[in-house]
Amino acid sequence: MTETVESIVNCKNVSVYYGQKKAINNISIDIGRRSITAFIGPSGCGKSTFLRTINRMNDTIDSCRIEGTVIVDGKDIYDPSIDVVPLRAKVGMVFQKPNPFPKSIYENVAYGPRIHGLASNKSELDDIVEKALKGAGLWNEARDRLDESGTSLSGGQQQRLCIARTIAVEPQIILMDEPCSALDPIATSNIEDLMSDLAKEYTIIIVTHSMQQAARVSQKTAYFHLGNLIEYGDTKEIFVRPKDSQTEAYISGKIG
Amino acid sequence: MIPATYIVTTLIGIFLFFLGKNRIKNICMNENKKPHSLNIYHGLFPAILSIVPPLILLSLWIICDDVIFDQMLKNRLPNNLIIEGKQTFLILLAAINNIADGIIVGEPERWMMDLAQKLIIWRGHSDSLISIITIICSFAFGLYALSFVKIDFRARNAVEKLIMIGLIICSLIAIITTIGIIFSVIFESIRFFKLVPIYEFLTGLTWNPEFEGAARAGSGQAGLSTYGSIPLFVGTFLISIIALSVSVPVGLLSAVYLSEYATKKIRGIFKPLLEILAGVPTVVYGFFAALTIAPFFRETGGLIGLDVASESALAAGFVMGIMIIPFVSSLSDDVIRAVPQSLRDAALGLGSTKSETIKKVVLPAALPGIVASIILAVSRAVGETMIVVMAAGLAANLSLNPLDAVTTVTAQIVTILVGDQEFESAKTLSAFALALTLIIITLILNFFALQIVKKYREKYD
Amino acid sequence: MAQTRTEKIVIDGLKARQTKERNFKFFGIFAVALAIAFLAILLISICSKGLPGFFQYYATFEVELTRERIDPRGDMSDQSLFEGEAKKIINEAVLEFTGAKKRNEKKAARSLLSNGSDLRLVNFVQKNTDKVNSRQKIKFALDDDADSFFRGYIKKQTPEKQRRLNDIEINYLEKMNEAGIITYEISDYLFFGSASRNAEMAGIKGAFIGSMLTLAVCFLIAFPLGVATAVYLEEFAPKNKFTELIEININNLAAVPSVVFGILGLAIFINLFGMPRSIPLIGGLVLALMTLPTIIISSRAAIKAVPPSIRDGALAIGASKMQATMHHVVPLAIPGMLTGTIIGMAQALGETAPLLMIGMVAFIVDIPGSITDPGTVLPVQIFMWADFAERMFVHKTSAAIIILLLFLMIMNGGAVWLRRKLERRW
Ligand SMILES: Nc1ncnc2c1ncn2[C@@H]1O[C@H](COP(=O)(O)OP(=O)(O)OP(=O)(O)O)[C@@H](O)[C@H]1O
Ligand SMILES: [Mg+2]
Repeated sequence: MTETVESIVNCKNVSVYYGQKKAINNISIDIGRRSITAFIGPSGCGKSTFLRTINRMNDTIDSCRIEGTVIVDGKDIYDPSIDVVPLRAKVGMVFQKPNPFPKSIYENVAYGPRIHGLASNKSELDDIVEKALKGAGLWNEARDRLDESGTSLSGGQQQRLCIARTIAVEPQIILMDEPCSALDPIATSNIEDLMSDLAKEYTIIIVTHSMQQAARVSQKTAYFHLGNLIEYGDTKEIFVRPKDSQTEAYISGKIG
Repeated sequence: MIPATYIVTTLIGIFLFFLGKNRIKNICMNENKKPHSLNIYHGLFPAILSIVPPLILLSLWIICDDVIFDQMLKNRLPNNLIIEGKQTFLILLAAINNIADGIIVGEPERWMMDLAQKLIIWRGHSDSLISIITIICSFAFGLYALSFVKIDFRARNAVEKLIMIGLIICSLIAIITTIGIIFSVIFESIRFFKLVPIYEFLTGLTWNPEFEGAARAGSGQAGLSTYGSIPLFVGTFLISIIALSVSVPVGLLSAVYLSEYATKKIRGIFKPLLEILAGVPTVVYGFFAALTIAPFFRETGGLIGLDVASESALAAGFVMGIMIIPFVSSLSDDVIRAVPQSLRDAALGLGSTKSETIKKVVLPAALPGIVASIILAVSRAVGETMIVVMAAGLAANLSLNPLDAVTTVTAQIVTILVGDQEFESAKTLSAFALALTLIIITLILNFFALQIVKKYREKYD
Repeated sequence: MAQTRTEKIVIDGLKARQTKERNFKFFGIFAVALAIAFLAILLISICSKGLPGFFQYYATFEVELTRERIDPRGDMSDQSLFEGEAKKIINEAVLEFTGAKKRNEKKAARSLLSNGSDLRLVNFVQKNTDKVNSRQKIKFALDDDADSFFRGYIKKQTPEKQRRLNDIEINYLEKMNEAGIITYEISDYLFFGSASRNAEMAGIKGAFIGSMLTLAVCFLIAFPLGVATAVYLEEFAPKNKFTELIEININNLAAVPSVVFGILGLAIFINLFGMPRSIPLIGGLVLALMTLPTIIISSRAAIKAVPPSIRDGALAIGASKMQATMHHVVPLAIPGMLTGTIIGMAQALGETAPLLMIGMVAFIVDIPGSITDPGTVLPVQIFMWADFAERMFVHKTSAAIIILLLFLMIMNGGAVWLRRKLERRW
């Protein structure tokens, strides 16, 4: 493990339950600031569940219960005094299926800044929207159609819109749950490029089913299996010399 | 006689059923072959034909014969009798019918007794005639059907075809009913508009059908009654607005709370509780409005120096509002829950609070469905009758003051048509014109609501 | 860990947003609470008025049942008992008890018992022929004003001119009370009486039977028609303009206000076909047309809910489409269809407006014996009683409402139960 990177997320002994069912089993992991970390593993192993514990999106599921500590930027986010609003403003999320609001492109991006009151006037808001769309590489395609509905964009554009919407709030961490699974290779490669750009400013954690994607974009990779964290380390290490036989089997395509 | 005919026909059917079944059995034994269809279908085919059409004929006859007798009686009334309008004729007919039924009030005139005697004889003849016809038909149809029963007769297909015809006829009832409603209402409305110009009906500011004169209908003089329906529509509008201002906020906020905040358990308790409100009969609401709410409003109004009529639009509208809360909340609840979770996740993921998510994302996305639910609630309010009859009064005041007594379209329809009425009079006919406008309004509302819901479904399916 | 700009702004604005969130949630809870409160007020107001309606005051008097006086013809026939002196016998007993002498005293004493007391005596005699020619204690209902006195609506302190009972009458009532002959009991008139202008004698039996007859007609017409239509539309109908037309019609019928069905009944059945007014047959017909859309729509949903695999299974072993439908789909869908039908019937049971127009609002004392006898129904009875100002009518109306609501609860409860049972199946 490289000790040079300062960590921003520290999880200690985290277990997650859905009702009686244990979906995450005692995971401890530290995630470095301004890097890309990939979560891989077979379907149903708890990647999404674990990702959603980092910005408490699991709170929306009634049956879900969490044990252990998750510390983001030095604060225990499951402390009763913590409000999820600033947490989620700091830890943004992009979902598997593009989910733009049924509003205009502009309104989609302006939504976050508006609710948080990040812009004090219209021109400031315009600037934020423009910056976010540029950051998400959508500005050139969308600048002339800001008033059109976000749902009228193509799938890849929609996903970039969702990324723009997320970065408009200027979070520190962006969680991405299989952001490219609904996209074609070209859109995927656009988004991958975008991620590498974003990683200069943001910490990105990405769940992916594509080994190549994990290998291409991430600095670190975590391999999950049946709710356990089997192996976590530098991506190059893991893909070239996996320490664990299960990881090897998965990476070489024997399970999954 | 008639009940016996029903029984005999049914027996004939059962008899033919066994006849058909045995016949095919025998044929099979003789020819040593298997029939195309099961034996039971060979029995059913003649049985159905011998029971159903004759009994339908019989039932139709029973419904229609009175009309025919009335016509025959009309032709035999004494010539010297001066008949004024249809009404006196109807009374005479009723009297004669009563005498024939054995209900004799006072000393009827001689010719009435004679006619009643005739009527009894006709009825007897008619009953025997139709009984004979029914039984003959039953036999004829049944035996004719029986003649089809052969080894290669596709009895099952034939029976299925008969059932299919039955099913199609049943599904036509909805259309027939609609046509019945439309025609009966349009027809009488046209007659009304011959007496009262449609322009006056739609734009007149006074509704006063009480002073009915043959004057107006007969001699064409300007009558004392006026048929300006504006006060009724204003009253309907006023009460609906009051009802909506109770039911929309309460219903919508309840729907939001129950679908977005409440736990499953709370929802499971309170949703059915709310729906009880829609199951309480309207007459109960009317009673409640007239006896509890209206006095309460009047007293409270008195305390703060307001003059509230004892039958006020406010009381009726308020109670109606309570009644339609579940109409708003149920449908709104459905559409709110139909908003995809991914949109909520997106908003929450950006750090919205729950209420921001609801106000800025969920409700705008569900808006068309919510609008549709409100439209349906409006159509409920416009068509509601009993609460208004019992609590809003019958005074056709042209007023937008919720503390006044007003009346509505439905309340007028009911008051005009309750009790005996002359079908010729403008007053009676006016109820049909009111009903026509009411139907048109509700159908338009319904159309828009369904259209919106349909669009909305397409968007999220 | 330096705060970023976003963090700072978000945390600064947090308080206000949390307050808004709390307020919004509070509004939601408030709305639900308000709706439930409305329901509670409605039910409490009805029950508080209605429960006393199940009881009324009776006075027990000993009367001499002399054969000749009661049954002058000596054959115990209705006519003979009607000609007898039942009324006189009761009055004598009351006069004897009160000791009334003067004209106004006698008048007062006679006015205290219900007008229907003689009928009660006659009924007693008819039921207990062996008790004739003896002294018997018989319970008579009090007149509604006397009843109101014991309920405390008429107060002695009120000046005589302003109350409906004069001093003599109150005096007598108190005397009866002291003698212990006044009892407060379950009102038999409520359950076994029929329409009456006398509050103390009014009951729901006629209306209840009328309701049952009407509902029976409604069910017998609407259920087969509705199910047949649903089966046809769901299983057999080709998807063309014509079926579309039928569907549009059904949807529109569901939206038509109930008064309009009354108009239909009046114009078609009564005016055109010349059928009599006020009869359960027409009431049932009208309500059947009204509930038809509900039944069709829910039956179609029930048929849709039958898994296609069952239909395919039947077809695969060589059943015809009709056989697959009739033998497999319909039986499985029947509970669902019944659920919808029960809900429709509950609707029909509570419906008032259309029945007013076909004359079921007439004042009918006789209890209908068949669907072609004039009658009324419970909700209409409630509507008629609601017009009367007597305190006792208010109580009896509310009691009738409670009975109606109980029936509706049972029906809807049955529907819910059926649905639960159905859900468990697949
Ligand atoms: N809302 C929920 N309620 C109950 N159990 C759930 C819920 N969501 C997920 N689970 C269970 O938790 C386990 C982990 O699910 P999770 O969605 O995290 O898997 P995943 O690794 O993201 O899979 P995939 O790659 O298919 O997205 C699974 O067994 C799943 O069945
Ligand atoms: Mg997942």
